[in-house]
Amino acid sequence: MSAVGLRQRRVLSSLRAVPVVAWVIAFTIVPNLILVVYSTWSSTIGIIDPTPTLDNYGEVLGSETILLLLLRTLGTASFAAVLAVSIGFMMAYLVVRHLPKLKLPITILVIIPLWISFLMRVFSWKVILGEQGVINSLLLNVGIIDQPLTIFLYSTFSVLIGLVYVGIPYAYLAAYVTLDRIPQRIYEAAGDLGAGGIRTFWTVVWPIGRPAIGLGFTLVFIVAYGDYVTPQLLGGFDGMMIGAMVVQAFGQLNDWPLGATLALITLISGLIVVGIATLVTRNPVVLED
Amino acid sequence: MPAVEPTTAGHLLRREPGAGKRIGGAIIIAAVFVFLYLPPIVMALFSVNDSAVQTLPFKGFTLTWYEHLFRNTEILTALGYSLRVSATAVIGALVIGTGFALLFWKPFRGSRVLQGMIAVPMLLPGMVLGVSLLLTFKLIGMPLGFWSIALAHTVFILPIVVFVVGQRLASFDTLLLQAAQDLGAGPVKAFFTVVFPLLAPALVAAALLGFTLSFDELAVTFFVAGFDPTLPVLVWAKLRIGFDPQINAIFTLLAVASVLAVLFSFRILAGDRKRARHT
Repeated sequence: MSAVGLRQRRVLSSLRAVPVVAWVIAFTIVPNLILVVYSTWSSTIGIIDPTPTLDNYGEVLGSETILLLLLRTLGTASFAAVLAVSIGFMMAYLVVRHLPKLKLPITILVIIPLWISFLMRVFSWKVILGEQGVINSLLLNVGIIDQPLTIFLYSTFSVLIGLVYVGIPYAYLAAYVTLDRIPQRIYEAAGDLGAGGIRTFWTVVWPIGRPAIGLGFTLVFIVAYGDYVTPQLLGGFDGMMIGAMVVQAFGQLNDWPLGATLALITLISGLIVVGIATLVTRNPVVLED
Repeated sequence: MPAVEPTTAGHLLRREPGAGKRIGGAIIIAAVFVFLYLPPIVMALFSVNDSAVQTLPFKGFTLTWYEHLFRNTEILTALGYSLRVSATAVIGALVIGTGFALLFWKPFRGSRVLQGMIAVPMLLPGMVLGVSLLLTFKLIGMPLGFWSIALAHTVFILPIVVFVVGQRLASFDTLLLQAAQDLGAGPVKAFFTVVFPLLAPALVAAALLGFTLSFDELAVTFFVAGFDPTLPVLVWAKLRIGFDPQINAIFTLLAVASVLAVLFSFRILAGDRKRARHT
């Protein structure tokens, strides 16, 4: 092959990247840059003034209420992700270790709820947890309580239930694809060497499964921390999260630059949490295929 | 006494997971399933409950809500709109995504980074993607409506298509295309006679997955929808004011339909894998 042919091939080969690069610029880079630019503008009664200013950042970062709300959002979403990952990981472990014959039907059953309307899955929790809901009726009928309890709904607790509920299938899937790749003989080897169930878990399953935990946490956290639907349906005032505020800024407040700033700060603080989670769960062991 | 057991004895003495553990595991899994299926069951039950209020106790069985639903033009219009938006987005994502997957077929410098960049819209919270696209559409003067929603949906379905089709392409060699071209087929003919039939199952899977994601999407759509509501946007408004069990009814029907579609696509993929093993 001649040198010219080779060079032509290289040029052709890099030309292949052009459509993809164009797509990424148009739909990822530009929109996010616009988000940044917008956050430096200002708005008076809906009229945009494109003079660069950092007032929005001052307003957001200087407000104790907003910062507390942001912290509570990150905390609630992290806690929901930890709970969902604990349940999902435990379940995936039980399935691959003790019920391998049923792993396909069980996995399909875990992910089926993902194909049922997200809105209705969350809304149903309102019906279940409400004052005349399923749980209260049950408790009243059994005679554990004689007055319906109002503690279940419109609190951080109900928001957590909703977020964990939505997150479990993702967490399970992340754990399942990793744990399913651990060959049965590795457990057998650990058993032969005298390790009990708990020891096997910590010395074998945990090191291999850790990145799956990081991935599961990330998936659930991303779905949770920007969510404005679940907090609004289940959270009431006590369970409010930052997403509702972004919606408000674009809606009733009609202050888009402030909304852009809030969205951006939410995004960046969320990425920091994801970054920490990924670092903490980085894999010391790489399982060869 | 030997320190190491003979292998056969070692095998017998090995701790197999006991029946007790298996039962314990099954109980925990059953408990998670109760948690996972309680909301859909509640949704379905209240769609046939003879009361407009979603509280216990049940007032009796009725199909009134389903009857009302079939005459409810507001919900049916939104449903039709959603179906059209999602179909458009899926077709767009399939065409562009398959094109991108083909470009990525032979890796080039930076292709992994680019693949990661394509996935970014899926990894952003819907709210952030929605806001950033809304601002972009406003700035370039694109009106909000059918095309803005379809485009936004294409943006987050695309990574799924690139990934699913890419996985499929990776399982066979680029030589196939070469062979077809050596036999005199042009690139277009080679694609449609050789590559496309092999990709069909991956395209079906990606289309179904993309469709369900698009059809159910609210977080992004809410920002870019404009005046006409998709079904989730309409229901989101109704959950605050004007809710009635017709909404349970429509989502119960849709749940049944989409679960059937998913099981069907699993069968296609499983059958395809079996065939691939036999050849």
